[in-house]
Amino acid sequence: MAEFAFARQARLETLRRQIAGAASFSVRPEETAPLGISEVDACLNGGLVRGALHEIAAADHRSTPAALGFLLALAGAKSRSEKRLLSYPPPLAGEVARRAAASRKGERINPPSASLHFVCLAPPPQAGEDNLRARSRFQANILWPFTKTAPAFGLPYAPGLRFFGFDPARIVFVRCINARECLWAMEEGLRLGGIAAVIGARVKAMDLTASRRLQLAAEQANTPVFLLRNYNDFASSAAVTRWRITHAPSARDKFGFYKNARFRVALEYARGGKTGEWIMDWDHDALCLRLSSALGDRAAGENRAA
Amino acid sequence: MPFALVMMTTGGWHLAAVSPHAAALGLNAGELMADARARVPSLQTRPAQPEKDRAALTKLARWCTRFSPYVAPWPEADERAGSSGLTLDITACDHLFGGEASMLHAVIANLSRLGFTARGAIAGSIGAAHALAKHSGQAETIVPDDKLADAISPLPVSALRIPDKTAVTLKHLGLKTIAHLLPLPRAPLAQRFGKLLNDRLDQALGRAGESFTPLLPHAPYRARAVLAEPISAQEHILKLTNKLAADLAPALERDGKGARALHLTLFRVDGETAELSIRLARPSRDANHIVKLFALKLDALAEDFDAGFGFEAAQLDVTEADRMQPQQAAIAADPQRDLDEKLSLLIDHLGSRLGLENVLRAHPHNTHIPERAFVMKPAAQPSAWDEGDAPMRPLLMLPCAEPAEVTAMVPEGPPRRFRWRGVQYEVASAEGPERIRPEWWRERESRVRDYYTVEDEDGRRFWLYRDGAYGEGARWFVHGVYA
Repeated sequence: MAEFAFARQARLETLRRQIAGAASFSVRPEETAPLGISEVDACLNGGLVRGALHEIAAADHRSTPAALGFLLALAGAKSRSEKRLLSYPPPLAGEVARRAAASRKGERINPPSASLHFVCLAPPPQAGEDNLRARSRFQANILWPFTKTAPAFGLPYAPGLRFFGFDPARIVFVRCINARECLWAMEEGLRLGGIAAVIGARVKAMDLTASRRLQLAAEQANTPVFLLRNYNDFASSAAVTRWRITHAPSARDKFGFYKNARFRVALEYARGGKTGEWIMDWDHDALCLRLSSALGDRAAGENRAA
Repeated sequence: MPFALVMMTTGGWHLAAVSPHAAALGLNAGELMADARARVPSLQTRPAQPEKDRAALTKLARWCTRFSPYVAPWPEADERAGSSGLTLDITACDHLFGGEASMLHAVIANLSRLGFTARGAIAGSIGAAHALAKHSGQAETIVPDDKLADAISPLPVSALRIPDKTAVTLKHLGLKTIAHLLPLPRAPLAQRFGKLLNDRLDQALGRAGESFTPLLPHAPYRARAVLAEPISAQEHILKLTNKLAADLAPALERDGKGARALHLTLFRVDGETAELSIRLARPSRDANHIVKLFALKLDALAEDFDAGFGFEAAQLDVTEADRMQPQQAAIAADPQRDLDEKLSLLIDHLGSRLGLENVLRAHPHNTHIPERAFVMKPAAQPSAWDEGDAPMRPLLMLPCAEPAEVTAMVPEGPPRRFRWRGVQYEVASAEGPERIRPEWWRERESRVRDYYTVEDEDGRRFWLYRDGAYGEGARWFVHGVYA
């Protein structure tokens, strides 16, 4: 009996090795980019995997902007990527007219279904790129494909993107007709290169197969893909990390002005890592994420500013 | 077996076209089918499909671009009795085939190889060539310029591309051939038959100019290659394209131009053509860049791309060219440049499928009105945002400011609570106002806006503004959402 168990164990080991070999196309060892927060990096097994799919979801519909903010914070943190490329959906002319008419009449407009479709692609930092130019604040080439669905909370606002370390001039927005084209644009971006990361929305059309394809493309290109996921989308995916984000009352400087965006972050899944919950600040001067001591701890923010 | 194509017209089924056998039995196009059947009981008929004929003719015209770049099918109005044809402008093309005679021979021979019975004529005017090809009855006719009048004289007046009615009237008057018309005074002719007859006569004699619209648009730069052996492998096609693109480069460089749009025509052995078009975001004459785009295009076609028995000729046209500054290659390796090149290839590639107008970049717009702070332009144009300190702006902007019901502590003060999209938000703190005045030179009606950044008890931040001052019917709007 014991012998059987042993043989079974050995056979399982062999199979596991084979699966591990087949599951990964990459010849490189996985490259990770630490967030610089030891607590989080420990849960992530050292940091975010560069050539992989990362999904960020809001805890509820109204937290979608926070989720997008955190996504951009992850993608834009300076320690990792120097260039990004985004594309995003501009409003349909008819939709704008409809909203304008409704707002003139003072009507309440029902929020459209929460969907933001976009892809952000940016080139990875390369060796020798750490020159003066690369260190300047706005050095990110971004590609942002989107479908023509009007997102619930509006469109990314170019001047606002600067606070997440993105240079609007280096963002290429790709207007796609449907989710399929969006996926195509993401994959082509990964395949052809010239970009540091892909940012997009996880759409209903993206089943496990599509997400595996994207994950493999990201792996081969060694380029991260950040996807914004609907708060109510629980479909399985091939992403290596999954985050869930809500708002938290933001930090203030010593004069009482808004300083940093603050997020309540839950790491729901990390491949080979652990889950965890934190409250984080996005420091838009230093372009990095920081752990804030406690929710609503205004004093902590003041101390840092001082 | 006698055979005819029939067509339903007013008065029943008529013969549209007849086979040589049927013609020998005395049948003519235009007869009633019932009459024809009565005379030749063994007549076989099929319905004519004029639109398919037209499509086939267009296809044939494309095939004929191997002889001259300027080819057009005859206008539909000139097509009568099932015969149709093509006009080729062979100016400066004939010497490539060893002179006019051998070129005409080559054209006819190639057409007969494809299974067409063709008659051809070379003349100094479109009118004369058309008339001779259609009515001379000879397979090959070449007329020197000084013999034009003599050559067309014996042809019937209907050869002049005039309406049937005019031709019939002329015949009734005893004016049966062009020779009868030539000595007549022109003014009474015009009075009786309209200007068209005189114009056609002049055009046939080469006294009046005539132009035609070629099937393929004029391409300012064109390279072509005819191959000894047909090719079909993708890598060979790309190699050939690379050679053609490289051939185009010196001419483009001489004119200080770069290609913005290119069209590749591949001629199949069996007379079909395969066509590929690419557009470039920025003018380029770099053969490698161009070939990469064609390669991506071919990859996308994959199964749909039918090489048949191979391609025997290829032609690369620059359909759109734009001014381009000479570029000096960097001698030192520059990773930034490499990335930029990759990015421009990506932009071209995405643009070739989605349309270059759908690959966009935000350009700053010099205004302080928030919704006009940037404009989206095609990504090929580089934009620059200055790095100076900008005022705090939200991450997301609503396509249109949405009205909100706001309660404020003091009339001119920040909101205390507000209701937006049916949800009540208690404001924990507010920052502002940031006053933004309308651009009076642009719009007179709009009012001063006071923007506030407010945060609710859960930490959601909004960008609200009050449109107008209190006392003049101020209204509140939510304009943006912070992360």
